[in-house]
Amino acid sequence: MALNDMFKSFCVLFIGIFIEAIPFILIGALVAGIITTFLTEELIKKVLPKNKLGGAIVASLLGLFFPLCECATVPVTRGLVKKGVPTNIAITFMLAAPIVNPVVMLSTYQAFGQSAKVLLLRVGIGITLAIIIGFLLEVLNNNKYVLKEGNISFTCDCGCEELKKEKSLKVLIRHIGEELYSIGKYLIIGSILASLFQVVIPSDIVNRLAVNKLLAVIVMMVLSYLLSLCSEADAFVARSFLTQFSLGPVMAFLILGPMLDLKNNLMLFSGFKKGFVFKLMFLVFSSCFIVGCLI
Amino acid sequence: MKKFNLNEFIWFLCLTFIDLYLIYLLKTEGLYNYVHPKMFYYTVFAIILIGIISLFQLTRVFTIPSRQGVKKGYGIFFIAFILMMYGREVSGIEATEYKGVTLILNNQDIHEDKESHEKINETGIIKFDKEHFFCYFEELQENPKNYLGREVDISGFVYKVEKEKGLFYLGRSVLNCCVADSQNLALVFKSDEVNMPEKGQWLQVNGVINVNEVEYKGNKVALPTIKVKSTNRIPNDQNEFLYKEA
Repeated sequence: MALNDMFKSFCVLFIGIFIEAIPFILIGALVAGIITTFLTEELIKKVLPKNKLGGAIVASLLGLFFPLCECATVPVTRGLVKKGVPTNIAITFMLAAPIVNPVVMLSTYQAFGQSAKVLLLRVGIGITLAIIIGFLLEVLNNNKYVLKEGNISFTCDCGCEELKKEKSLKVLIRHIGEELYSIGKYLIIGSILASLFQVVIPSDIVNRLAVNKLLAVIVMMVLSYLLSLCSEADAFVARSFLTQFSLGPVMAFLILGPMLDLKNNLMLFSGFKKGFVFKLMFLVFSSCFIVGCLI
Repeated sequence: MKKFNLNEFIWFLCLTFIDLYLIYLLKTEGLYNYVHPKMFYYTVFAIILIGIISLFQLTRVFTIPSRQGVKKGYGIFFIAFILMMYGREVSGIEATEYKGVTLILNNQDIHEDKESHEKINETGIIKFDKEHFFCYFEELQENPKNYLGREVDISGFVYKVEKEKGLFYLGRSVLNCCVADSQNLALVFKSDEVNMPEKGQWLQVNGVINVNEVEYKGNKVALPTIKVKSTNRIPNDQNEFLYKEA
Protein backbone atom coordinates (compact mmCIF):
# COMPACT_ATOMS: atom_id res chain seq x y z
CA MET A 1 0.00 0.00 0.00
CA ALA A 2 1.42 3.38 -1.03
CA LEU A 3 2.32 5.82 1.73
CA ASN A 4 -0.15 8.40 0.42
CA ASP A 5 -3.00 5.87 0.46
CA MET A 6 -2.05 4.83 3.98
CA PHE A 7 -2.16 8.43 5.12
CA LYS A 8 -5.58 8.93 3.51
CA SER A 9 -6.94 5.85 5.28
CA PHE A 10 -5.38 6.98 8.53
CA CYS A 11 -7.04 10.42 8.28
CA VAL A 12 -10.48 8.98 7.56
CA LEU A 13 -10.25 6.48 10.42
CA PHE A 14 -9.10 9.21 12.76
CA ILE A 15 -12.02 11.47 11.80
CA GLY A 16 -14.49 8.60 12.29
CA ILE A 17 -13.34 7.77 15.81
CA PHE A 18 -12.91 11.40 16.86
CA ILE A 19 -16.19 12.88 15.67
CA GLU A 20 -18.18 9.94 16.95
CA ALA A 21 -16.85 10.42 20.47
CA ILE A 22 -17.32 14.22 20.68
CA PRO A 23 -21.08 14.19 21.49
CA PHE A 24 -20.50 11.72 24.32
CA ILE A 25 -17.76 13.85 25.86
CA LEU A 26 -20.20 16.76 25.81
CA ILE A 27 -23.08 14.77 27.27
CA GLY A 28 -20.73 13.44 29.96
CA ALA A 29 -19.44 16.90 30.80
CA LEU A 30 -22.97 18.31 30.93
CA VAL A 31 -24.31 15.57 33.22
CA ALA A 32 -21.19 15.54 35.41
CA GLY A 33 -21.28 19.33 35.59
CA ILE A 34 -24.87 19.41 36.77
CA ILE A 35 -24.22 16.66 39.31
CA THR A 36 -21.00 18.26 40.55
CA THR A 37 -22.88 21.39 41.51
CA PHE A 38 -24.61 19.52 44.32
CA LEU A 39 -22.32 16.54 44.84
CA THR A 40 -20.41 16.60 48.07
CA GLU A 41 -18.40 13.93 49.83
CA GLU A 42 -20.79 14.29 52.79
CA LEU A 43 -23.72 13.41 50.53
CA ILE A 44 -21.97 10.28 49.25
CA LYS A 45 -21.04 9.25 52.79
CA LYS A 46 -24.64 9.74 53.85
CA VAL A 47 -26.06 7.33 51.24
CA LEU A 48 -23.44 4.63 51.88
CA PRO A 49 -24.46 1.88 54.35
CA LYS A 50 -22.08 1.31 57.26
CA ASN A 51 -21.94 -2.45 56.64
CA LYS A 52 -18.87 -3.32 54.52
CA LEU A 53 -20.57 -5.65 52.05
CA GLY A 54 -23.72 -3.56 51.75
CA GLY A 55 -21.59 -0.44 51.48
CA ALA A 56 -19.47 -1.98 48.73
CA ILE A 57 -22.54 -3.02 46.73
CA VAL A 58 -24.13 0.43 47.03
CA ALA A 59 -20.78 2.09 46.28
CA SER A 60 -20.39 0.04 43.11
CA LEU A 61 -23.71 1.42 41.84
CA LEU A 62 -23.27 5.02 42.94
CA GLY A 63 -21.83 5.96 39.56
CA LEU A 64 -25.36 5.69 38.19
CA PHE A 65 -26.37 8.72 40.24
CA PHE A 66 -22.99 10.48 40.55
CA PRO A 67 -21.46 10.01 37.11
CA LEU A 68 -17.81 10.95 37.39
CA CYS A 69 -14.88 10.27 35.12
CA GLU A 70 -11.87 8.31 36.36
CA CYS A 71 -9.78 11.36 37.18
CA ALA A 72 -12.60 13.07 39.08
CA THR A 73 -13.17 10.01 41.27
CA VAL A 74 -9.65 10.09 42.77
CA PRO A 75 -10.05 13.29 44.81
CA VAL A 76 -13.61 12.28 45.77
CA THR A 77 -12.35 8.88 46.98
CA ARG A 78 -9.58 10.56 48.96
CA GLY A 79 -12.19 12.80 50.56
CA LEU A 80 -14.34 9.78 51.44
CA VAL A 81 -11.44 7.95 53.12
CA LYS A 82 -10.59 11.14 55.01
CA LYS A 83 -14.18 11.28 56.27
CA GLY A 84 -13.90 7.75 57.63
CA VAL A 85 -15.56 5.68 54.90
CA PRO A 86 -14.01 2.16 54.96
CA THR A 87 -11.26 1.73 52.36
CA ASN A 88 -12.97 -1.14 50.56
CA ILE A 89 -16.12 0.93 50.04
CA ALA A 90 -14.25 4.04 48.87
CA ILE A 91 -12.09 2.02 46.47
CA THR A 92 -15.10 0.15 45.11
CA PHE A 93 -16.73 3.50 44.37
CA MET A 94 -13.56 4.79 42.69
CA LEU A 95 -13.17 1.75 40.43
CA ALA A 96 -16.82 1.24 39.52
CA ALA A 97 -18.14 4.80 39.12
CA PRO A 98 -16.44 5.52 35.76
CA ILE A 99 -17.91 2.28 34.33
CA VAL A 100 -21.41 2.52 35.79
CA ASN A 101 -21.65 6.14 34.66
CA PRO A 102 -24.81 6.33 32.44
CA VAL A 103 -22.99 8.33 29.76
CA VAL A 104 -20.27 5.67 29.62
CA MET A 105 -22.95 3.01 29.32
CA LEU A 106 -24.68 4.94 26.53
CA SER A 107 -21.45 5.43 24.61
CA THR A 108 -20.53 1.75 25.04
CA TYR A 109 -23.96 0.73 23.80
CA GLN A 110 -23.68 2.99 20.75
CA ALA A 111 -20.06 2.17 19.97
CA PHE A 112 -20.68 -1.56 19.86
CA GLY A 113 -23.59 -1.32 17.46
CA GLN A 114 -26.19 -1.10 20.22
CA SER A 115 -25.02 -4.42 21.59
CA ALA A 116 -26.45 -5.15 25.02
CA LYS A 117 -24.00 -8.03 25.41
CA VAL A 118 -20.88 -5.84 25.43
CA LEU A 119 -22.56 -3.28 27.68
CA LEU A 120 -23.72 -5.88 30.22
CA LEU A 121 -20.33 -7.58 30.23
CA ARG A 122 -18.55 -4.29 30.82
CA VAL A 123 -20.86 -3.14 33.59
CA GLY A 124 -21.26 -6.58 35.22
CA ILE A 125 -17.56 -7.37 35.26
CA GLY A 126 -16.69 -3.81 36.26
CA ILE A 127 -18.97 -3.91 39.31
CA THR A 128 -17.86 -7.39 40.34
CA LEU A 129 -14.15 -6.59 40.06
CA ALA A 130 -14.56 -3.29 41.87
CA ILE A 131 -16.18 -5.02 44.86
CA ILE A 132 -13.64 -7.89 44.92
CA ILE A 133 -10.63 -5.56 44.54
CA GLY A 134 -11.99 -3.33 47.31
CA PHE A 135 -12.11 -6.26 49.75
CA LEU A 136 -8.77 -7.76 48.67
CA LEU A 137 -7.10 -4.40 49.00
CA GLU A 138 -8.36 -3.99 52.51
CA VAL A 139 -7.03 -7.44 53.43
CA LEU A 140 -3.65 -6.74 51.78
CA ASN A 141 -3.44 -3.33 53.39
CA ASN A 142 -4.03 -4.68 56.88
CA ASN A 143 -5.91 -1.61 58.19
CA LYS A 144 -2.96 0.75 57.59
CA TYR A 145 -3.69 4.43 56.93
CA VAL A 146 -3.69 4.83 53.12
CA LEU A 147 -3.60 8.57 52.56
CA LYS A 148 -0.59 10.78 52.05
CA GLU A 149 -0.44 13.93 54.15
CA GLY A 150 -1.12 17.27 52.46
CA ASN A 151 -3.26 18.17 49.49
CA ILE A 152 -3.56 16.21 46.29
CA SER A 153 -1.19 17.75 43.73
CA PHE A 154 -2.82 16.45 40.57
CA THR A 155 -6.34 17.65 40.18
CA CYS A 156 -8.89 17.16 37.48
CA ASP A 157 -8.33 20.07 35.08
CA CYS A 158 -11.88 20.10 33.75
CA GLY A 159 -13.04 22.97 35.92
CA CYS A 160 -15.24 20.88 38.21
CA GLU A 161 -13.53 22.29 41.32
CA GLU A 162 -14.64 25.77 40.28
CA LEU A 163 -18.14 24.47 39.71
CA LYS A 164 -18.34 23.41 43.35
CA LYS A 165 -17.53 26.96 44.43
CA GLU A 166 -19.79 28.88 42.07
CA LYS A 167 -23.00 27.33 40.82
CA SER A 168 -24.06 29.16 37.68
CA LEU A 169 -24.92 28.39 34.05
CA LYS A 170 -21.87 30.34 32.91
CA VAL A 171 -19.55 28.22 35.02
CA LEU A 172 -21.31 25.05 33.88
CA ILE A 173 -20.77 25.95 30.21
CA ARG A 174 -17.18 26.83 30.95
CA HIS A 175 -16.78 23.45 32.67
CA ILE A 176 -18.12 21.63 29.57
CA GLY A 177 -15.72 23.56 27.32
CA GLU A 178 -12.77 22.79 29.56
CA GLU A 179 -13.71 19.15 29.79
CA LEU A 180 -13.85 19.03 26.00
CA TYR A 181 -10.31 20.44 25.99
CA SER A 182 -8.89 18.14 28.66
CA ILE A 183 -10.55 14.94 27.44
CA GLY A 184 -10.25 15.96 23.79
CA LYS A 185 -6.44 15.96 23.96
CA TYR A 186 -6.33 12.36 25.12
CA LEU A 187 -9.06 11.35 22.69
CA ILE A 188 -7.08 12.79 19.78
CA ILE A 189 -3.94 10.89 20.83
CA GLY A 190 -5.99 7.72 21.33
CA SER A 191 -7.71 8.08 17.96
CA ILE A 192 -4.38 8.69 16.23
CA LEU A 193 -2.81 5.59 17.79
CA ALA A 194 -5.86 3.42 17.10
CA SER A 195 -5.95 4.55 13.45
CA LEU A 196 -2.19 4.05 13.05
CA PHE A 197 -2.49 0.59 14.57
CA GLN A 198 -5.08 -0.38 11.97
CA VAL A 199 -3.36 1.10 8.94
CA VAL A 200 0.35 0.67 9.64
CA ILE A 201 0.70 -2.70 11.33
CA PRO A 202 0.61 -5.42 8.67
CA SER A 203 -2.43 -7.65 8.91
CA ASP A 204 -0.36 -10.86 9.23
CA ILE A 205 1.34 -9.49 12.37
CA VAL A 206 -2.04 -8.48 13.80
CA ASN A 207 -3.45 -11.90 12.92
CA ARG A 208 -0.54 -13.61 14.71
CA LEU A 209 -1.03 -11.33 17.70
CA ALA A 210 -4.76 -11.96 17.71
CA VAL A 211 -4.23 -15.74 17.71
CA ASN A 212 -2.11 -15.48 20.86
CA LYS A 213 -4.78 -14.37 23.30
CA LEU A 214 -2.49 -13.78 26.28
CA LEU A 215 -0.32 -11.46 24.24
CA ALA A 216 -3.38 -9.72 22.76
CA VAL A 217 -4.79 -9.08 26.25
CA ILE A 218 -1.45 -7.65 27.44
CA VAL A 219 -1.17 -5.39 24.37
CA MET A 220 -4.70 -4.05 24.87
CA MET A 221 -4.14 -3.50 28.59
CA VAL A 222 -0.89 -1.59 28.00
CA LEU A 223 -2.64 0.51 25.36
CA SER A 224 -5.55 1.22 27.66
CA TYR A 225 -3.23 2.27 30.49
CA LEU A 226 -1.01 4.49 28.36
CA LEU A 227 -3.73 6.12 26.27
CA SER A 228 -5.55 7.31 29.41
CA LEU A 229 -8.78 7.78 27.48
CA CYS A 230 -11.76 9.10 29.30
CA SER A 231 -14.25 6.29 29.88
CA GLU A 232 -16.92 8.34 28.09
CA ALA A 233 -14.97 8.06 24.84
CA ASP A 234 -12.89 4.90 25.15
CA ALA A 235 -15.54 2.56 23.74
CA PHE A 236 -15.20 4.11 20.29
CA VAL A 237 -11.47 3.47 20.25
CA ALA A 238 -11.97 -0.03 21.68
CA ARG A 239 -14.56 -0.91 19.03
CA SER A 240 -12.06 -0.16 16.27
CA PHE A 241 -9.83 -2.93 17.65
CA LEU A 242 -12.62 -5.47 17.44
CA THR A 243 -11.91 -6.00 13.75
CA GLN A 244 -8.49 -7.37 14.75
CA PHE A 245 -8.91 -8.83 18.23
CA SER A 246 -11.51 -10.99 19.88
CA LEU A 247 -13.82 -9.68 22.60
CA GLY A 248 -11.57 -10.77 25.52
CA PRO A 249 -8.66 -8.39 24.86
CA VAL A 250 -11.10 -5.60 23.96
CA MET A 251 -12.98 -6.16 27.23
CA ALA A 252 -9.69 -5.99 29.16
CA PHE A 253 -9.16 -2.59 27.50
CA LEU A 254 -12.67 -1.46 28.45
CA ILE A 255 -12.42 -2.55 32.09
CA LEU A 256 -8.86 -1.50 32.86
CA GLY A 257 -8.97 2.03 31.43
CA PRO A 258 -11.74 3.43 33.66
CA MET A 259 -10.18 1.81 36.73
CA LEU A 260 -6.56 2.68 36.18
CA ASP A 261 -4.62 4.63 33.61
CA LEU A 262 -1.46 6.70 33.50
CA LYS A 263 -3.37 9.90 34.22
CA ASN A 264 -5.27 8.80 37.32
CA ASN A 265 -2.32 6.69 38.47
CA LEU A 266 -0.30 9.90 38.87
CA MET A 267 -3.16 11.38 40.85
CA LEU A 268 -3.30 8.26 43.01
CA PHE A 269 0.42 8.47 43.78
CA SER A 270 0.02 12.08 44.81
CA GLY A 271 -2.91 11.38 47.13
CA PHE A 272 -2.35 7.86 48.47
CA LYS A 273 0.64 6.03 49.95
CA LYS A 274 2.94 4.35 47.42
CA GLY A 275 2.59 0.84 48.84
CA PHE A 276 -1.19 1.10 48.73
CA VAL A 277 -1.18 2.31 45.11
CA PHE A 278 1.17 -0.51 44.03
CA LYS A 279 -1.14 -3.08 45.64
CA LEU A 280 -4.11 -1.49 43.90
CA MET A 281 -2.26 -1.54 40.56
CA PHE A 282 -1.35 -5.20 41.01
CA LEU A 283 -4.94 -6.17 41.78
CA VAL A 284 -6.46 -4.16 38.93
CA PHE A 285 -3.94 -5.35 36.33
CA SER A 286 -4.10 -9.00 37.35
CA SER A 287 -7.90 -9.14 37.55
CA CYS A 288 -8.33 -7.43 34.17
CA PHE A 289 -5.79 -9.82 32.67
CA ILE A 290 -7.68 -12.84 34.00
CA VAL A 291 -11.00 -11.45 32.74
CA GLY A 292 -9.53 -10.70 29.29
CA CYS A 293 -8.19 -14.23 29.01
CA LEU A 294 -11.40 -15.88 30.19
CA ILE A 295 -13.81 -14.12 27.82
CA MET B 1 -3.00 45.48 31.54
CA LYS B 2 -4.12 44.62 28.02
CA LYS B 3 -7.43 42.78 28.00
CA PHE B 4 -6.72 40.12 25.40
CA ASN B 5 -6.32 36.50 26.42
CA LEU B 6 -4.48 34.56 23.72
CA ASN B 7 -5.18 31.15 25.31
CA GLU B 8 -8.90 31.82 25.42
CA PHE B 9 -8.81 33.17 21.86
CA ILE B 10 -7.10 30.01 20.54
CA TRP B 11 -9.64 27.84 22.33
CA PHE B 12 -12.43 29.94 20.83
CA LEU B 13 -10.96 29.30 17.36
CA CYS B 14 -10.66 25.57 18.11
CA LEU B 15 -14.28 25.33 19.21
CA THR B 16 -15.47 27.29 16.20
CA PHE B 17 -13.47 25.05 13.87
CA ILE B 18 -14.92 21.85 15.36
CA ASP B 19 -18.44 23.29 15.17
CA LEU B 20 -18.11 24.45 11.57
CA TYR B 21 -16.54 21.15 10.58
CA LEU B 22 -19.45 19.18 12.03
CA ILE B 23 -21.95 21.52 10.32
CA TYR B 24 -20.10 21.03 7.03
CA LEU B 25 -20.20 17.24 7.39
CA LEU B 26 -23.87 17.28 8.25
CA LYS B 27 -24.78 19.61 5.40
CA THR B 28 -22.82 17.71 2.76
CA GLU B 29 -23.85 14.32 4.22
CA GLY B 30 -20.14 13.59 4.42
CA LEU B 31 -20.81 12.62 8.02
CA TYR B 32 -22.01 9.21 6.86
CA ASN B 33 -18.64 8.60 5.27
CA TYR B 34 -17.31 8.28 8.81
CA VAL B 35 -20.14 7.29 11.12
CA HIS B 36 -23.48 5.47 11.11
CA PRO B 37 -26.57 7.62 10.35
CA LYS B 38 -27.82 6.84 13.87
CA MET B 39 -25.24 9.42 14.99
CA PHE B 40 -27.24 12.23 13.32
CA TYR B 41 -29.03 13.45 16.46
CA TYR B 42 -25.91 13.16 18.58
CA THR B 43 -24.06 15.28 16.04
CA VAL B 44 -26.80 17.91 15.99
CA PHE B 45 -26.63 18.01 19.79
CA ALA B 46 -22.84 18.45 19.63
CA ILE B 47 -23.16 21.27 17.08
CA ILE B 48 -25.66 23.17 19.24
CA LEU B 49 -23.73 22.71 22.47
CA ILE B 50 -20.34 23.58 20.97
CA GLY B 51 -21.99 26.63 19.39
CA ILE B 52 -23.18 27.79 22.83
CA ILE B 53 -19.79 27.08 24.40
CA SER B 54 -18.10 29.07 21.59
CA LEU B 55 -20.33 32.09 22.26
CA PHE B 56 -19.49 31.98 25.98
CA GLN B 57 -15.85 31.46 25.11
CA LEU B 58 -15.88 34.64 23.05
CA THR B 59 -16.64 36.64 26.18
CA ARG B 60 -13.50 35.21 27.81
CA VAL B 61 -11.20 36.37 25.01
CA PHE B 62 -11.20 39.93 26.33
CA THR B 63 -10.05 39.13 29.83
CA ILE B 64 -6.69 39.61 31.52
CA PRO B 65 -4.45 36.66 30.60
CA SER B 66 -2.74 34.53 33.21
CA ARG B 67 1.05 34.37 33.28
CA GLN B 68 1.21 30.91 31.78
CA GLY B 69 2.24 30.70 28.13
CA VAL B 70 0.17 29.22 25.34
CA LYS B 71 -1.24 25.83 26.39
CA LYS B 72 0.65 22.94 24.77
CA GLY B 73 -2.58 20.98 24.33
CA TYR B 74 -3.60 23.25 21.47
CA GLY B 75 -0.81 21.66 19.42
CA ILE B 76 -2.63 18.32 19.67
CA PHE B 77 -5.87 19.93 18.49
CA PHE B 78 -3.98 21.61 15.66
CA ILE B 79 -2.67 18.22 14.47
CA ALA B 80 -6.23 16.88 14.61
CA PHE B 81 -7.51 19.77 12.50
CA ILE B 82 -4.88 19.11 9.81
CA LEU B 83 -5.92 15.46 9.66
CA MET B 84 -9.59 16.46 9.55
CA MET B 85 -9.01 18.84 6.65
CA TYR B 86 -6.92 16.34 4.71
CA GLY B 87 -9.29 13.43 5.22
CA ARG B 88 -12.54 15.19 4.41
CA GLU B 89 -12.39 14.58 0.65
CA VAL B 90 -11.31 10.95 0.81
CA SER B 91 -14.04 8.46 -0.02
CA GLY B 92 -14.88 5.84 2.58
CA ILE B 93 -14.30 2.86 0.31
CA GLU B 94 -10.97 4.26 -0.81
CA ALA B 95 -9.97 4.65 2.82
CA THR B 96 -10.94 1.13 3.85
CA GLU B 97 -9.23 -0.62 0.93
CA TYR B 98 -6.32 -1.57 3.18
CA LYS B 99 -8.63 -3.85 5.13
CA GLY B 100 -8.88 -6.26 2.21
CA VAL B 101 -12.01 -8.30 1.76
CA THR B 102 -14.02 -10.26 4.29
CA LEU B 103 -15.37 -13.47 2.80
CA ILE B 104 -16.35 -15.10 6.10
CA LEU B 105 -18.11 -13.27 8.94
CA ASN B 106 -16.94 -13.55 12.54
CA ASN B 107 -19.38 -14.92 15.10
CA GLN B 108 -19.72 -11.48 16.66
CA ASP B 109 -21.05 -10.07 13.39
CA ILE B 110 -23.83 -12.57 13.01
CA HIS B 111 -27.13 -10.88 12.38
CA GLU B 112 -30.35 -12.23 13.80
CA ASP B 113 -32.85 -10.95 11.24
CA LYS B 114 -34.62 -14.23 10.47
CA GLU B 115 -37.26 -12.55 8.30
CA SER B 116 -34.66 -11.39 5.81
CA HIS B 117 -33.04 -14.81 5.91
CA GLU B 118 -36.32 -16.37 4.94
CA LYS B 119 -36.85 -13.96 2.08
CA ILE B 120 -33.85 -15.41 0.27
CA ASN B 121 -35.75 -18.71 0.06
CA GLU B 122 -38.44 -17.21 -2.15
CA THR B 123 -38.19 -18.43 -5.72
CA GLY B 124 -36.70 -16.40 -8.56
CA ILE B 125 -33.57 -14.32 -8.80
CA ILE B 126 -31.87 -13.50 -5.50
CA LYS B 127 -31.51 -9.74 -5.55
CA PHE B 128 -28.77 -8.48 -3.27
CA ASP B 129 -30.33 -5.09 -2.65
CA LYS B 130 -29.07 -2.63 -0.03
CA GLU B 131 -31.65 -3.64 2.56
CA HIS B 132 -30.92 -7.33 2.52
CA PHE B 133 -27.28 -7.40 1.55
CA PHE B 134 -25.91 -8.29 4.96
CA CYS B 135 -28.48 -11.00 5.69
CA TYR B 136 -28.25 -12.58 2.26
CA PHE B 137 -24.48 -12.55 2.49
CA GLU B 138 -24.66 -14.28 5.85
CA GLU B 139 -27.24 -16.83 4.74
CA LEU B 140 -25.37 -17.68 1.55
CA GLN B 141 -22.21 -18.17 3.52
CA GLU B 142 -23.84 -20.38 6.15
CA ASN B 143 -25.79 -22.58 3.77
CA PRO B 144 -24.26 -22.20 0.30
CA LYS B 145 -25.38 -25.64 -0.88
CA ASN B 146 -29.06 -24.71 -0.38
CA TYR B 147 -28.72 -22.17 -3.17
CA LEU B 148 -26.75 -24.11 -5.76
CA GLY B 149 -27.80 -23.12 -9.27
CA ARG B 150 -29.87 -20.11 -8.11
CA GLU B 151 -29.49 -16.92 -10.11
CA VAL B 152 -28.28 -13.76 -8.36
CA ASP B 153 -28.27 -10.06 -9.18
CA ILE B 154 -25.80 -8.06 -7.20
CA SER B 155 -24.46 -4.52 -7.42
CA GLY B 156 -21.27 -3.52 -5.71
CA PHE B 157 -17.67 -2.46 -5.71
CA VAL B 158 -14.82 -4.52 -7.15
CA TYR B 159 -12.29 -4.82 -4.33
CA LYS B 160 -9.86 -7.26 -5.86
CA VAL B 161 -9.16 -8.92 -9.20
CA GLU B 162 -7.16 -12.14 -9.75
CA LYS B 163 -7.08 -12.34 -13.54
CA GLU B 164 -4.78 -15.39 -13.65
CA LYS B 165 -7.31 -17.39 -11.59
CA GLY B 166 -10.31 -15.89 -13.39
CA LEU B 167 -11.65 -14.53 -10.11
CA PHE B 168 -12.79 -11.17 -8.81
CA TYR B 169 -14.22 -10.06 -5.46
CA LEU B 170 -17.24 -7.76 -5.43
CA GLY B 171 -19.40 -6.61 -2.58
CA ARG B 172 -20.22 -3.72 -0.28
CA SER B 173 -18.54 -2.04 2.63
CA VAL B 174 -20.67 -2.43 5.73
CA LEU B 175 -20.36 0.08 8.53
CA ASN B 176 -21.41 -0.97 11.98
CA CYS B 177 -20.67 2.12 14.03
CA CYS B 178 -17.86 4.14 12.50
CA VAL B 179 -15.51 3.75 9.57
CA ALA B 180 -12.84 2.19 11.80
CA ASP B 181 -14.97 -0.90 12.31
CA SER B 182 -16.25 -1.22 8.73
CA GLN B 183 -15.78 -4.41 6.76
CA ASN B 184 -15.57 -4.98 3.01
CA LEU B 185 -17.94 -7.91 2.59
CA ALA B 186 -17.34 -9.56 -0.74
CA LEU B 187 -18.45 -12.56 -2.70
CA VAL B 188 -16.19 -14.49 -5.07
CA PHE B 189 -17.02 -14.26 -8.77
CA LYS B 190 -15.68 -16.60 -11.44
CA SER B 191 -15.52 -14.95 -14.81
CA ASP B 192 -14.14 -15.30 -18.33
CA GLU B 193 -11.79 -12.68 -19.73
CA VAL B 194 -14.57 -10.73 -21.49
CA ASN B 195 -16.45 -10.02 -18.28
CA MET B 196 -13.37 -9.53 -16.10
CA PRO B 197 -13.65 -6.06 -14.52
CA GLU B 198 -10.98 -3.71 -13.21
CA LYS B 199 -10.39 -3.15 -9.54
CA GLY B 200 -12.28 -0.11 -8.21
CA GLN B 201 -15.25 -0.34 -10.60
CA TRP B 202 -18.90 -0.31 -9.56
CA LEU B 203 -20.72 -3.15 -11.31
CA GLN B 204 -24.03 -4.88 -11.53
CA VAL B 205 -23.43 -8.59 -11.97
CA ASN B 206 -25.79 -11.35 -12.91
CA GLY B 207 -24.67 -14.93 -12.30
CA VAL B 208 -25.34 -18.38 -10.92
CA ILE B 209 -24.35 -19.72 -7.50
CA ASN B 210 -21.79 -22.50 -7.22
CA VAL B 211 -19.70 -23.76 -4.34
CA ASN B 212 -15.94 -23.96 -4.77
CA GLU B 213 -12.84 -24.18 -2.65
CA VAL B 214 -11.22 -20.76 -2.40
CA GLU B 215 -7.99 -19.76 -0.72
CA TYR B 216 -8.73 -17.40 2.16
CA LYS B 217 -6.24 -16.28 4.81
CA GLY B 218 -3.92 -19.14 3.92
CA ASN B 219 -6.60 -21.87 4.10
CA LYS B 220 -8.74 -23.56 1.49
CA VAL B 221 -12.41 -23.05 2.35
CA ALA B 222 -15.63 -24.01 0.60
CA LEU B 223 -17.39 -20.77 -0.29
CA PRO B 224 -20.23 -19.73 -2.55
CA THR B 225 -18.82 -18.53 -5.86
CA ILE B 226 -20.87 -16.83 -8.53
CA LYS B 227 -20.38 -17.89 -12.14
CA VAL B 228 -20.73 -14.62 -14.02
CA LYS B 229 -23.24 -14.44 -16.88
CA SER B 230 -23.16 -10.70 -17.49
CA THR B 231 -21.77 -7.50 -16.02
CA ASN B 232 -22.84 -3.86 -16.35
CA ARG B 233 -20.94 -0.79 -15.27
CA ILE B 234 -23.03 1.34 -12.91
CA PRO B 235 -22.39 4.77 -11.42
CA ASN B 236 -20.77 5.00 -7.99
CA ASP B 237 -23.27 4.59 -5.22
CA GLN B 238 -23.55 8.01 -3.65
CA ASN B 239 -23.70 6.44 -0.22
CA GLU B 240 -20.82 4.06 -0.51
CA PHE B 241 -21.38 2.30 2.78
CA LEU B 242 -24.19 0.05 3.83
CA TYR B 243 -25.15 0.62 7.42
CA LYS B 244 -25.75 -2.35 9.63
CA GLU B 245 -28.99 -2.17 11.55
CA ALA B 246 -28.72 -2.59 15.29
